[in-house]
Amino acid sequence: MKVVKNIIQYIVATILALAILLLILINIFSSSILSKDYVLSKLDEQNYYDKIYEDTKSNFENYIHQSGLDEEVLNDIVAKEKVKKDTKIIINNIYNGMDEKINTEEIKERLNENINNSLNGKISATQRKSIDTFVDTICKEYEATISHTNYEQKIHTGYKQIERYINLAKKGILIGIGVCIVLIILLTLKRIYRVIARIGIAFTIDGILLLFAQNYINSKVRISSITILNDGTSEVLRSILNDILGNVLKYGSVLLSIGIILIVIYGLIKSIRKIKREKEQYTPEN
Amino acid sequence: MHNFVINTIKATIIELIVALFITAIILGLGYFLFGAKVEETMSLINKVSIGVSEGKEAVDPVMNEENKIINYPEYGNKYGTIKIPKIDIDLPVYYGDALDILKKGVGHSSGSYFPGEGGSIIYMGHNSKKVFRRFSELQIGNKIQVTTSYGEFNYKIYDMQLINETEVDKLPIQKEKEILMVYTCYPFNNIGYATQRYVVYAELES
Repeated sequence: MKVVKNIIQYIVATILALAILLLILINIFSSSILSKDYVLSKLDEQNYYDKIYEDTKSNFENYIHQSGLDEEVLNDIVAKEKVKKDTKIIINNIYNGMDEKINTEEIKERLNENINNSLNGKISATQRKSIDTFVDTICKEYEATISHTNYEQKIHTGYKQIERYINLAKKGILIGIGVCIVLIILLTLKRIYRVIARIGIAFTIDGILLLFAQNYINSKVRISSITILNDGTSEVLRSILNDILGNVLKYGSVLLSIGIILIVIYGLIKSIRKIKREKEQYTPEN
Repeated sequence: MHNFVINTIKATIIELIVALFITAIILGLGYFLFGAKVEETMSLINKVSIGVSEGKEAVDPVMNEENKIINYPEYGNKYGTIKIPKIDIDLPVYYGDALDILKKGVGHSSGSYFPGEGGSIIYMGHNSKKVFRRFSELQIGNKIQVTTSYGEFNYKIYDMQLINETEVDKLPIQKEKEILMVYTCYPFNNIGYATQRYVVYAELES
């Protein structure tokens, strides 16, 4: 009976460990990639807007060589502030479900003005058509560089779904953790100090698993060379992944330390009780 | 006191062993259930990781006796030069056709063969003054010379065609005969966005 009771306690401790682990992972993701404020702070921290601004200029230059126009026509058609404002529109569309479009009218006007000035207004009807296509291409290029996707609404729907599941999961996990702790208390009523050991075991398991996961991912994935879309996006993504792994390491170390401390405390209490019991056994004979 | 320490260590170690044992079971079970998927995900992430060649110098391609290139150049790297004496062209050739590559010189379509391999080779360049603006002066019989680290290849122009921008992907790729196709935007003195391409076809002489 005692062995069965012990096994049940360890099983409950394992379930508790898994529940805590899930809660930690959910918290790590909720506070990083799933948080709009966090993503915006990362964009600022990694100078994302400056890099995208440079990218837009470089992408425009790709078209100028075949256009027969002077490179000067691209001067000042986009401002850094506009890049920042438009990037925030996209982030808002994704996280808040807005449907705001990037306005390229200003770019169109400035580019047309620069082209007119460059050609001194001497533009034939055929050239006008070709220039209009060129201007449209530049505007589309700008939109593509800023947004990278036409699926903002789909991403938002997915994001909302994830958010809903996470909130549900959080509630379920918290209830699960409560139930596990109550069960452990009930199973260790006669030796209540064992609760410390079981919770200690759960924390130790979580600590080891998180540290293992962090080391495993670090050894398998070349985070420093992940490249997606452009330099700006890649650096933000790398930074977010490093933050996530850093948090996994932090939580892992803290949980492992607390787990070991709890187990040592349990060992101490058990020892004290044993010595006390031994003393009590010898007392009547004395 | 001695007994107290021994008992404490014993109780602690037993609980730690249990914790390790349970962790091992969880990891084993996790690997059994999700191991393959995790590995697959990791390799997928690594596929979007570059940088393997970062810091390394570009290695020149080498061709073996069976006319097979042993080490192809990496995307974006220069691997040769193209000379068209008739229009004073002497430009570097890069492997790849991205717009940022074309800023530097002539691009080589990554879906086509390399000089000397015996198939269709597709090169492209802007119609700017420094690149192919003077393509209109080319005539049948003019020479094109491509020099790579593994040899020099001479081609003779046998045809010129005007195609739409969208037809570039349909340029014939075959391996029966070595043909060099070089194209640029048309009209040559275009202002704005060019929707046509001028293609020069040349066959291998030596």
